[in-house]
Amino acid sequence: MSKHSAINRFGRSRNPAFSRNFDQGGFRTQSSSEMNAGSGFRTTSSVAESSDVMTLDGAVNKTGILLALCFTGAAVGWNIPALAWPAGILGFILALVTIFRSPSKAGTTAPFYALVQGVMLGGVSLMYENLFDGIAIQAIGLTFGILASLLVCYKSGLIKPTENFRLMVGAGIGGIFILYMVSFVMSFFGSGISLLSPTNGSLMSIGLSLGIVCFASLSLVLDFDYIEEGAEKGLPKYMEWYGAFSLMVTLVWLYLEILRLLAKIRSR
Amino acid sequence: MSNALIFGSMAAISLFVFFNLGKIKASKNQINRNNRINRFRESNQQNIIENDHKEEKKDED
Repeated sequence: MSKHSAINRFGRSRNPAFSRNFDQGGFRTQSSSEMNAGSGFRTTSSVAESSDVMTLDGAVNKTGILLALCFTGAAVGWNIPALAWPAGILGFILALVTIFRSPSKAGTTAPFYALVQGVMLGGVSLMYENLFDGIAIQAIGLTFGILASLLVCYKSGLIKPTENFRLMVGAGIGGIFILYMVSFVMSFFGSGISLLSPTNGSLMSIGLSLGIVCFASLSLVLDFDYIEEGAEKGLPKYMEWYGAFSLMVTLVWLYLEILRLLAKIRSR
Repeated sequence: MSNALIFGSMAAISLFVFFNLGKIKASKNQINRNNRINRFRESNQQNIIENDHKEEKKDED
C-alpha cells in the first residue's frame, strides 16, 4: 500500500502545468473522459500539436510585423525629429513593462514598442545623416546583414550557444550597461566619457564601439536560440510576440551601435 | 547613389534570408547536443516525476 493516500484517492493533478510534455514539442492535455474516477487511474494521450503553442513561423512573421511598424515609425521620426526624445523614453518604459511586468501581454506592448522605437530611430538617423551623408542606409544594410549571417551561422550549428556563452555575453552586456550609466551620470556634471562620443575617431574609441557591436550581435544568437527552444518545447502562443520583441530590442541596440561605429570611422 | 543601392540591396537580401531561413528548424548538431542552455529547467521536472515514481514503486514493494 502506497503512503500517497491522496494520490490513491483522487488521482494525480490534472493541472496542465504539471502535465506539460516538453519532449513532444506541444502540450499534453487530458480530457475528463480519460479519467477513471473509480480507481483514480489515469491515462494520458498526447494530443496533436495545438494551435495555441509557439511556432518558428509565428515568431518570424511577428518579427516581420514589428519591423514593418518600426519602419513606419522611422518615417514619422525622420520627418518630425523633435519626437525622437519623447519616443525614446516611451519606448524604454514600454520595454521595461514588457520584460518585467507582463510578457504575456507582449502582443499588445511589442507593436507599440516597435512603432515608438521607430520614431526614435528615425530622428536619430536624421541627426547622423546631417553629419555624415548616406550613413543611415549603411547602418541599415549592416544591421540586417549581421542578422542574416548570424542566423545562417546559428541554424547550421556553426555558433553553438551554451551556458558559458550566455554567461560571457551577459557579463559583457553588464559591463557596457555600467559604462553607459557612468557616462549618463557624468553628463549631468557637464562631462562624459569621450570614448563614447560619435565624433571621437581615435582607434581606442573605434575598438570600444567594435566590441559593443560584437556583444550586440552575439546577443542576437541568444535570441535565435530562445525562439528555437521555445518553439521546440511548445511554449504558449504569446511567447511568439515575446520572442519577436526580444529580437527587436537587440536589433534596435545593434543599429544604434553600428550608427555610432560608422560615425567614428567617418570622423577619422 | 551607389551607396544606397549597395546597402539597400544588402538589407533586402538579408531580410529575404531571415524570413525564409528563420522558419526552418536548426540543424541536428545545433539541437541534439548536451550543452544546450536549459532555460526551462525540463530536467528538474523530469527528475521530480521520476523520483516520485520510484518512491511509489518502493512503497508498493
